[in-house]
Amino acid sequence: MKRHTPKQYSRRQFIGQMSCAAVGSTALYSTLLNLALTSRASAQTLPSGNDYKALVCLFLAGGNDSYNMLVPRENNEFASYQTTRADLALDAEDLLDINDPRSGRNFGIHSSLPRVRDLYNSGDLAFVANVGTLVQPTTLDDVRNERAPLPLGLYSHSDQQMHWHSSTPDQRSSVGWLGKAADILHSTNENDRISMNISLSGSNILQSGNNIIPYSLTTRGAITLDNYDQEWAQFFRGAVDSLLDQEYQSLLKQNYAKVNSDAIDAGAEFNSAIDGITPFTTEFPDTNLGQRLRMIASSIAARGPLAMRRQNFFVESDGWDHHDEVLNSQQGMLAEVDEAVSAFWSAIEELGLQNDVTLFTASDFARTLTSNGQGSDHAWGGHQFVLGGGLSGGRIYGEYPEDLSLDNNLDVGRGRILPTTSVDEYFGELARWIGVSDTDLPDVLPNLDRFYTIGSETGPLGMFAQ
Amino acid sequence: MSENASNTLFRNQLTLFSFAFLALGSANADVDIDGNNLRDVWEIYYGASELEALGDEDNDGISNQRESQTGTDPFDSNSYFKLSPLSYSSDGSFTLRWFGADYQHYLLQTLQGSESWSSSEFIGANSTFETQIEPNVGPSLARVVIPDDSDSDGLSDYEERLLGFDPNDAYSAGEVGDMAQAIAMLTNGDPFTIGNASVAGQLPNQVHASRFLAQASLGADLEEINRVTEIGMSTWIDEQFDEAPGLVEPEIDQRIADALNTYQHHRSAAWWRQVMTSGDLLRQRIALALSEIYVVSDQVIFDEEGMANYYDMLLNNAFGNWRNLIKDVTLHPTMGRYLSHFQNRKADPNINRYPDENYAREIMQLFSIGLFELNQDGTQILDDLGQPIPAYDNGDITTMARVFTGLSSGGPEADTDEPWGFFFSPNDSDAPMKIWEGEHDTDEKLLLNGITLPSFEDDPERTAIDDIDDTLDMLFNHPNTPPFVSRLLIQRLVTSNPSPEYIGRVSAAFINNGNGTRGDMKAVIKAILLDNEARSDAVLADSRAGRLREPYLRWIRLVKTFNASSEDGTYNIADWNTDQSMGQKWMRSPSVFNFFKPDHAPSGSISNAGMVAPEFEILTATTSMATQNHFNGAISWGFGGFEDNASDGLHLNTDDLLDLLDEPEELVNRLDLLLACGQLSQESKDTILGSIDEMPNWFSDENRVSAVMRLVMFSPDFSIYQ
Repeated sequence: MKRHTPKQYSRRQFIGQMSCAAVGSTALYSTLLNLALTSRASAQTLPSGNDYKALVCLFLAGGNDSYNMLVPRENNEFASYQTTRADLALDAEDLLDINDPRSGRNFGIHSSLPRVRDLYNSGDLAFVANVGTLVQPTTLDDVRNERAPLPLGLYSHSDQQMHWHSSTPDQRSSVGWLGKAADILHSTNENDRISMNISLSGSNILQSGNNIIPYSLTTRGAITLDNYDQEWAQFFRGAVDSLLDQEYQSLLKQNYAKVNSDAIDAGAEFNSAIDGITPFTTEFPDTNLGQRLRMIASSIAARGPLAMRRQNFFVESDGWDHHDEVLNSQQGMLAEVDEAVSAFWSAIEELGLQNDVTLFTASDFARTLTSNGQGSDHAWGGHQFVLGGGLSGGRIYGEYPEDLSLDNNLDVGRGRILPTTSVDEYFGELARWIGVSDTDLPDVLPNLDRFYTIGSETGPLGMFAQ
Repeated sequence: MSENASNTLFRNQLTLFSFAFLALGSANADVDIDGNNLRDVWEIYYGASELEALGDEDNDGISNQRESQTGTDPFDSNSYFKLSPLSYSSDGSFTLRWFGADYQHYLLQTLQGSESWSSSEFIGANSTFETQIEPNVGPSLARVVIPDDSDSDGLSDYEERLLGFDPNDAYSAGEVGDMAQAIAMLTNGDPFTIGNASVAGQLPNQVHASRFLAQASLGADLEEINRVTEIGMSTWIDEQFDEAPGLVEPEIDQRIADALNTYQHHRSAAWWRQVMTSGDLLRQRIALALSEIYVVSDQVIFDEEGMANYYDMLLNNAFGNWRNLIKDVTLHPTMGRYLSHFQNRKADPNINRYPDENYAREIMQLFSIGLFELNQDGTQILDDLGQPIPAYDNGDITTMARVFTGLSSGGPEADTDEPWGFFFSPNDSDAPMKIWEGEHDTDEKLLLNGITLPSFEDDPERTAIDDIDDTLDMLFNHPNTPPFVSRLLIQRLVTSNPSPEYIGRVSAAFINNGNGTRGDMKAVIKAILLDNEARSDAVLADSRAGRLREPYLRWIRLVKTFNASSEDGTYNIADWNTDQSMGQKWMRSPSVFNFFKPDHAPSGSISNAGMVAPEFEILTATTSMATQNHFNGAISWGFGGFEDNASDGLHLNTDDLLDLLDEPEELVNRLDLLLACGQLSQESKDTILGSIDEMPNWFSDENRVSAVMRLVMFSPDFSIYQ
């Protein structure tokens, strides 16, 4: 039998040739090469320059009980809070006092978040109150009388996570708004081998666009294929390349091959870039979240060698679905967030990128104000925080409900609070900041214009000076 | 619909259209194991297995494929399904003629004026029909129709008659659906009758057996593959149904009895021992699939006995009835803790306390009916606006949350007459949760579909378990449950994108096992594994077919196929970090949504094609590489061992492969058969063979075999199973 010898070129050389040649074939080995062609013709890329910006999404998966993260402290408000939350209510001494200059009201931050409180007071951090998924502006009457379309699968984890990722709660979409933003902005980066969207928590909808998929890292950086780069393993490299370059009829095989070849192409390059950075003096906590934020900070530090002008990062913290043990569990988990985020911020300060990196939190939903005896159940609007990027911090954006007694004018039932700020407004603010033009905003956030006049001078929340 | 012939005539006032066609759905009524697009029963009846679909052996103008669909003789140029030219009489009547093949039935249908179609049946017997139609004023239509699959069991009517089945009864041939029964007959090696002739039964070849075992087991060596080629698939399944379960908990209980520390890795080793040594190959496979639907996770449950007992519960229910399964799942203390209905109390509005909604939500969304109303074939029922219809709303969840109140510890020491026992009974990991009536909500409950549970005041005989049983009955009998559960199981075992017809056939088996029993898992499993969509080679050419093998399943297959073993006979398999590296580990899902979701569709060509690919949710730049490196470690160096003693390290047994190294093609073919079910393309084989020549001179034989194994394990042809 006649044997074929494996092709002798290396994958990387071949890609180099491809990108120089006119791109005529669709059998590309990295679809990232193709982006300039497939992006919408009218998409507005950034003006040339060498500025840098990065968004970091910290997703608290499972539904953070955020009505215990940010608590009203005005006398009447606190009393209603305590009555409604009953055995889940925090005491005054468990709260760190802050003031919101916008409303003039006093609030308390969970005592596990002292560093977050400091960042709030130093003006680097802001809260966004009672934000959640909405299809259109909606009142409690609309909900009660079924007059407004509501997010599909309200109160369900998988659906609400999907909606927070896609910002299109009127459909079940597996395309995320940061993915679509990256579809448009990716050509800003000179590097076409590594996605501008990097995930420390594997695949996710948020960062998956129509063309872009997130590039996945571990706390140790990229995982490379054993032996692939070793001199003695040329046979292996050749065979691996041939197996991946083969034309497959099966769509599943095509996609499997593509994920593997993209990983091989990107891995060595990425690791050599982060190996070259100056180590941080900041010590990151030795927690899962701390180490993942350290790798994000390292990737940001390596933006030069990686040839990145815009980047989006995603990291998920699991285990916030506190049907039971909410008080104890949340105490420890918020402390982990507090330490990790604070270390991340010191590293960003070391890099001098305080105005160029924005970290924001997101979560499936807040939880019922009322207790199930052990914890709280799935609800709707909740609170998030945003750090950095030159925002006007030390204040609370959106509207924190003034009355948390049951059957208040936002209570859908059991203390499920109707959001007063939509995820579209929240993300519209961030999308503008990272550089999505007004022309492209409707593509990235198709429902945004239901809540905000695109083209306005200021963003939907007015958080960032433009 | 395939139109076979049409003759059109306009004649004075009388307009006649006559045509002949196969009824709708013909393309799916097919048993075609060899994947040549010719129906297998027809091939046997006419001795036509050597023909090609696109050929026309008898030159009658009708392709062999069409003849197999219409049941006509491909070697007889007079035998084809087509109307002859019409002939007319002076009185205006006309004559229809067509050839009626053996065992085929035809409906002559006429439509005159505005009347509805009238039909008369003609039974073919290898002869020509001739029938006269009287004249009529006004437009007339006449057509000849072959009802292709009257009972929608996936087997065409004429083939059912050839096999002695009833074409109007999907369960006419036994305790499995007719398609499964036909596939069993065709592949079990026993003689059977087609028409009036007795034919020798076939047995699966090695490739077909390997493919079957890739679906029906967690791994199989050459011996097991050969066994299937000797007894056939249906018999193998029947044997497996009788295998005793290889349970995990006894080994854990023994450790506890011996006062030894017991951790996750001990439970893992106990499970691995069963996977590697127990004879219940099919049961182990089904239980693992069930563990990815009825999810609990040792990420949050730190009770080795409870986790082991839960898995054993899945093993015990694998061949039972779904109704028992869902009850055992519901009442299991491990599930109670995982989804927090353990110690769930009835409402106390005075202190704003309401029942926990967690289990109520997930039992519907993930375990039984899903989010939307479904047809029996798993497609969504749409409303007038074309939108899917939610199967329940949040009010239904809060109501059902009240059903699952009052549950707490079970076991002999839990005294439900003692109110404090609800809070303070000792944990019993092995016993179903008990119910404290005083903590149970006794008000009336309006469940889905108008089913109401009466208040205990109105029905003094009622107790809490009645609420739970009635609720589980409601879910069991909900029309969504058969297609919802069937699809999930098909996705775990066979393909990510089953056709609606396939789902419909498995649903039918769920609804009725042939003896009127609903929820019989044996019937469901047979319907899944003995379906044309699981068995036909035609899927090899289908760009949508198959599934990405879960990384952990690839890992198990490697370990099991090569009978990994240690000196001391333990299975201390070092995979405690695979949930990080591969994104998967036994019983260690990150959430109740499993490692990946059944509707995950990676953006790009898969999503654009309207397909899903659940396992791609955990295929990233990180996991893809780490998975291969994990395999590499095991293949190249051995693996495992954590008892601080070298003798518990494991090695794959590859001596057979070393013997084949002198014949590299044999080596690659063997790995193709064992791992890739014969699905390595020639191009992939050539690539791997070519690499052997390029290996360094200093490579030992072991190095060479290891390298070849790595490449097979890496190849898309292995990683995607079709």
